[in-house]
Amino acid sequence: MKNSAKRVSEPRGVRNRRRASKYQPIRKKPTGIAGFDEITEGGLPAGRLTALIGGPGMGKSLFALQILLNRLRTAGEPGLFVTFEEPVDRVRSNVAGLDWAFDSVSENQLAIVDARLPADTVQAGAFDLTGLLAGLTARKAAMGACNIVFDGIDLLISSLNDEHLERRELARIDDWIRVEGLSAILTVKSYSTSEREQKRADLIQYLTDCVILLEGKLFNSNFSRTLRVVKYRGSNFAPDAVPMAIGRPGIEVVPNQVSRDNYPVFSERVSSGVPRLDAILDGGFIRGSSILLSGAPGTAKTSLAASLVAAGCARGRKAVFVSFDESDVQIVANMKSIGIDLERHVASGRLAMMSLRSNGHSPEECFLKICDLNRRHKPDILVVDPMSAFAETAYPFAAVISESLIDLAKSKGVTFLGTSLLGQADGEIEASAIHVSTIADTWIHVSYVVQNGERNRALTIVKSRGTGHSNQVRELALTCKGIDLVDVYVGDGKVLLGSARLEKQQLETRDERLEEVQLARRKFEVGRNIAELQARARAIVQELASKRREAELEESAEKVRGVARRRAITQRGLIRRLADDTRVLPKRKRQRSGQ
Amino acid sequence: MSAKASRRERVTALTAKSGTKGQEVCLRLYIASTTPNSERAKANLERALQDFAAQPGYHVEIIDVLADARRAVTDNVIVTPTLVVLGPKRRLVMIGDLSDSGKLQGLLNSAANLS
Repeated sequence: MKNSAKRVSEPRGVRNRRRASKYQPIRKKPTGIAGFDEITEGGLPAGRLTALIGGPGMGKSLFALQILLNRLRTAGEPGLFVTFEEPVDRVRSNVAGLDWAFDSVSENQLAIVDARLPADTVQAGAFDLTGLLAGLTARKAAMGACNIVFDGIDLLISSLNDEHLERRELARIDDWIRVEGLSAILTVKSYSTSEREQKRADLIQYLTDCVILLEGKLFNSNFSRTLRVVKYRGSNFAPDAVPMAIGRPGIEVVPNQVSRDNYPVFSERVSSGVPRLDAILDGGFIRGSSILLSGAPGTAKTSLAASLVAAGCARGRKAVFVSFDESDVQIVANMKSIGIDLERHVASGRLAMMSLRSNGHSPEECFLKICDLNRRHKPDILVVDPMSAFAETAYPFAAVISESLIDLAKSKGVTFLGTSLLGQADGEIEASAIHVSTIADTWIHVSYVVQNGERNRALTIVKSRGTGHSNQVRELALTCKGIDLVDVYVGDGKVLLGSARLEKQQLETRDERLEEVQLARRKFEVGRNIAELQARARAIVQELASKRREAELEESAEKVRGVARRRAITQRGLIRRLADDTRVLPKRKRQRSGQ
Repeated sequence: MSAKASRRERVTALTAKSGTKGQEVCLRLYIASTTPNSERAKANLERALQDFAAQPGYHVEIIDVLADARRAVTDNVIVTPTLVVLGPKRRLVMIGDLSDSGKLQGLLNSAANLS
């Protein structure tokens, strides 16, 4: 080895890794079946053998043919479909009813090879598939085919009736496709009864690189298909069974991986069509959010949904209304009675309505139809009424389907409204049957309040992410002019609706007026009293004044009398020479009298 | 030794004497020259035909699909070895290495009835 002196200094791990790098990780070819490519993280293995196992009518041949066609149309890869059981024209007519335009595919792009043995063929001893492969080699070289399907080869191989020989033939096919560089699919029938056949199916599973199982089950008389990747050598895959449906576009798979990242986020608001409801929600629903509308039957859920749609269409947006209970004609007629005109929106092409009876289709078929309508119409608002139609069947994928639906809507920035049937509106039972309440952004509950012999509808906003909202229960009224929210009377803390509300309203008005009157009366009385007292006060003051004057007068009169009395006394004295005995005589010479 | 040369040899070697009854029945054996199944089929067919030497003429052809792949496509050969008996109206097919001599005899008998 050259440069061995240099290499010795490298650590062993690095050296080993370098040597190992000539083995490439497995290359995958996307099948074009959307959900399937997600579960297998890229599609089927390129240049390897895949087994499609399933019972009768599970869609194995269809699946394989769809993959061939998709590879041709998306990657320009010609393919060979080798049929061992069905005649070529029947293969074509089986897919004529789908939207594939299969007849437009030319023979040198996708050739259907008839590899059927005549019915009266006698088998005398062991055989091998060398002849077939020789012929296929020639065809492949002529077409430049990259993909090949062996449809129904298991029956042929099984007629060898010898496990070693069967294993050998499978190995032969495997070697052949590796040499030719083809990616191959084998369709294999699965049997539930025969042990021998089951063993053979197991054998095929062991010898192939990727095994996909197509199954179908009855749930309450609804038939439901599932797909499961059982084995995928050299790759990671989602091992759970996922729902699958066969419709006009062919096979569609509903992956159960829901990506919650990368949703577009909006801040603008979508009107619900009920101004007061918009006001409670700070302007309306956030665009692109998901809304759950729950309530007992007859609580106007469809009407509210229609109101949202009508409001959206009136502003030029597009909407899709999917109904499981009523036909679209019925809904339009019903909505007319409350003043919501859906007809003109349908006529203008902004509103697309679809009516699915859930008994006729399995939930995943319904889901795929809704997806398809969404893809074609590209709405801004999507309504599914009721969404609990998915949950009504005893269907294990109901939660997945609902989540996938909401995920689909959110990822496209579509405002989604789903209605759900609930029996009662008590605490615990308010949890939605399909647990959508946890992923819905807004949850509005409409219930019946039975009081005083009448039922009224009450609307509550249970939760609303990203918006403040009132927690007050309001009365929902359906009038011929539309839906309206009415103030409830919160009398003594209790809520009153309907006629009780009106009565109470009137009562309160009357009471108020009564109080007013009484107040007025009392005021008047008091006023009068005051006036009275004031008058009295004035009178007393006057009396006081007059008394004072009297007193003054008395005083002055007293004074005058006093003076007069004294004068009179003095006068009297004078007159009576009262003071003579006290007067002092003037000094005279005293004559001796008397001599 | 080319495939074509060896084939011609075998054809001449196996052509039985033509009888007077009706048309010839064409027996075609499609083989894949390399596989042991095909070797066995050839051997078994040769042996069976020798036993039938007294029967009216069979026209036997041996076709190697590995050499002549387009023949495999046009004649719609699926497994090898395949023995096809072409009568004027009908076509009988037998697959396998012809080791089941009873069945092979049965086929050759029906082939006799075709002509």
